[in-house]
Amino acid sequence: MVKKAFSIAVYIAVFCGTLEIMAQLDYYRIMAVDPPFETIQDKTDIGFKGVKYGVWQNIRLNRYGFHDFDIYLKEKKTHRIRIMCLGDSVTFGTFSAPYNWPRFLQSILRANKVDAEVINASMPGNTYTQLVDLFEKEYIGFRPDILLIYKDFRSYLGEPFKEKEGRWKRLLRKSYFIERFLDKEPEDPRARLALKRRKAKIKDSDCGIAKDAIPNYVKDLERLIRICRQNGIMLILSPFPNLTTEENKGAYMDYIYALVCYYPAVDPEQCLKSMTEFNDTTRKMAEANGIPYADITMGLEHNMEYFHDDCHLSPKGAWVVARNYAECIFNTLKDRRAGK
Amino acid sequence: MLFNTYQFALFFLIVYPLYLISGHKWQNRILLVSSYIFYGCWDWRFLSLLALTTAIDHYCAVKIYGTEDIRRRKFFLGISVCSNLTVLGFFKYFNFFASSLQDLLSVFGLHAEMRFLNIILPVGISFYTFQSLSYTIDVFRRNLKPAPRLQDFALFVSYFPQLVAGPIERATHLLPQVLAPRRISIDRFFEGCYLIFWGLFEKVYIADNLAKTADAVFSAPAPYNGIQVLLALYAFAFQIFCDFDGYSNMARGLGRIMGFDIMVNFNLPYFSTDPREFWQRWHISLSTWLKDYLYIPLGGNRRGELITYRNLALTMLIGGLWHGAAWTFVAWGAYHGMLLVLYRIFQPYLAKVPLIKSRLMNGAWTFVRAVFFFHLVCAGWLLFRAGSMAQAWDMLYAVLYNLRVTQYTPIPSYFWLMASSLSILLIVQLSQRARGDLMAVFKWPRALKTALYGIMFYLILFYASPGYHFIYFQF
Repeated sequence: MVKKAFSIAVYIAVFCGTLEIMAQLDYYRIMAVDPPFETIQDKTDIGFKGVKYGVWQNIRLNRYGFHDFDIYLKEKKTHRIRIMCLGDSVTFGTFSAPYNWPRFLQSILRANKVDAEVINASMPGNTYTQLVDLFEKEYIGFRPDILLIYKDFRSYLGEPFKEKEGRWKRLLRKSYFIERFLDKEPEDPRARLALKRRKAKIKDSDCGIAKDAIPNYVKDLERLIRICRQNGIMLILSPFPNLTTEENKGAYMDYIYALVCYYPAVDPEQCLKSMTEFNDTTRKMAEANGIPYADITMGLEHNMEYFHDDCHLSPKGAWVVARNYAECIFNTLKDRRAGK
Repeated sequence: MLFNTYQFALFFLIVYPLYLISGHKWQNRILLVSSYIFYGCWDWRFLSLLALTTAIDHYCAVKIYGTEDIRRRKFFLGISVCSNLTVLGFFKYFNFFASSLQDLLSVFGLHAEMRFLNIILPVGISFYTFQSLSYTIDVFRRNLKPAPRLQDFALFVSYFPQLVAGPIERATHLLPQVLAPRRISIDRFFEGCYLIFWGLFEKVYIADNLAKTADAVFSAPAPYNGIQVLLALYAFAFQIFCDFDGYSNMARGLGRIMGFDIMVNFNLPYFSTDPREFWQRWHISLSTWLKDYLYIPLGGNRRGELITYRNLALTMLIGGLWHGAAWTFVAWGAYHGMLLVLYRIFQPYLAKVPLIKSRLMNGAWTFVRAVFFFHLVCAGWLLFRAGSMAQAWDMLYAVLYNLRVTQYTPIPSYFWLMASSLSILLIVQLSQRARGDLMAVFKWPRALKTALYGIMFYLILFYASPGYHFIYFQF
């Protein structure tokens, strides 16, 4: 009897040990093969940076950690106009890898005999503040002539969720398997959001847009304008992309729910309302500072032909955005030559 | 109600204890009712179709058996065959033949307004009609006595583990198990549990994850990248195997824990080195059915070489059409028919290749032949999986002329998914092949076996892909 109980205990131990070893191997596999962007380079003060020749979500990064081939060097050739595109997954082209708008922009400029090289320096997941930091501390070395920044406005939705955990849970999390198990989430975005809010002890009634979002945004924009002025870089501003409108918001609410799971204290309804406010702020800042403003929403239709979801561009959408940017660049260059 | 759903788990948790505590007669009743509930969960309207097929075939079988008059026997066999094929043809092939006829007429400049039926295909119809058909044919051939009661025969046709996607059981094998009391031993119970677990793993981890890879490429528009097509083809080859073998294993496992012995449907098919061996290992229940009820009645290989080639080609063509009402399936069947014919032509020459005495070299030669034949099978899967002949051609063209790695060839992700999925499958199959026993893993040392279960459990827990149907349900 004792022998049988002992052998059963051994098998249970083998089983649990296998689960733990699998969880650990799996962790290192994720790190090595397909790292999530949080782990590409964990410098929280400047956000995330792509690793040299890394691979992120099947997209290979180049020697500078950017989404592109090695078609340019950091050292700039003087005669060629260098355009740097900052942004997040929208610019990176996460959902339609080869068809990102910076690549289209390069084609349009070259087709119109503008000797320009376009650097897609976007990094999925980075906030506006982090992008400005990254540009100031690292990318400025590329000495771009023109800077385009085009990203989603979610970085102003509030602080990402942090779960408050008890001592026992922290202890259990020492096991990779249990940690993985505890982090397992439901497929349904609404259920996931509800779970996150419950875990974070956030009441639905307490959810709302972060109150200081617009002032933060203005602060970031001002800093970016200052950096560009100091370095002789022409900045072109543009509104945030968005498919969701008051009319069609119901259809895309699931997307929003899925997205705000990262920011569970944010109310999706409030997000939609604040969009206009953000875009008005951008336009006013551009006018006040004499900065070219590219209304890249011109010709973009609010449907799935142009977007993959509420903000990520389809190839067609990316082409329209590139065309609008190109037009703005042509006009600006013409004005410059005319001495305006 | 899929085997890999909570609904089925709940259904089985209710049925199984009732089954265990009942006597033989009540066990059969419980199984019959639960089988009809199981089938009714897909679409209750088609229960009448199942019942009608069962009633007609049972009636015909009794009549066939009860007379010595050959004309009368043939008459009732004809009724049974016609009724089964009419049901199958109407639900499965009507729209296909109608649209094909329309296309054909349009080639000659004739415009015909064909009426298409707005019907859904009853799940598992190809499986249970073939199963039921084999019963009347076996009774006609005096290989079998008809079931004494309609309810026994009804259970044979509708037995839920193998009702919707096979294996296509023979009455000579399954019916005696229905009629006689069954024994459930603790060993058989654990064997059954192992088969269910392994089948579940094959389905929800291997097949469904490989499906992502295959679907991504097959659903994308042309032009294709050759590397991606090749990877998608490999993925699909193992997806369809694990999907179907997984279902068959779960069916066998469920049968085993209820005291039934359901036939093996797949016996390491990708280790085959020639088409004949492949069809002895792949979808065994269908290939033996086609052999016994189509190939041999056509004359088999007894009427000279040319007739044999015709019989092989015709059998495979019908086998292809059985899989689905589309020209790609017909082409797939024709392709395998062609492989069988070519093998039959060249086999005498291959037999003359002197045997190598070295065991290592012999193994290497077998390996090369298996790899070569696997690629021939994959070419067939291209026809099988492609949405149209044009897509199959585009993809084949990409493999032949556009085989290069680009920046957007997502090799790492494909590699991890495929390597992890296939490595376990390979280990298990190599063990099965080495021991010549499909239950080889079950007989591993306990600690090793427990570790494998741990790995499988982990992968199912975190990497199972929900929401994929079994491929063979559509047939």
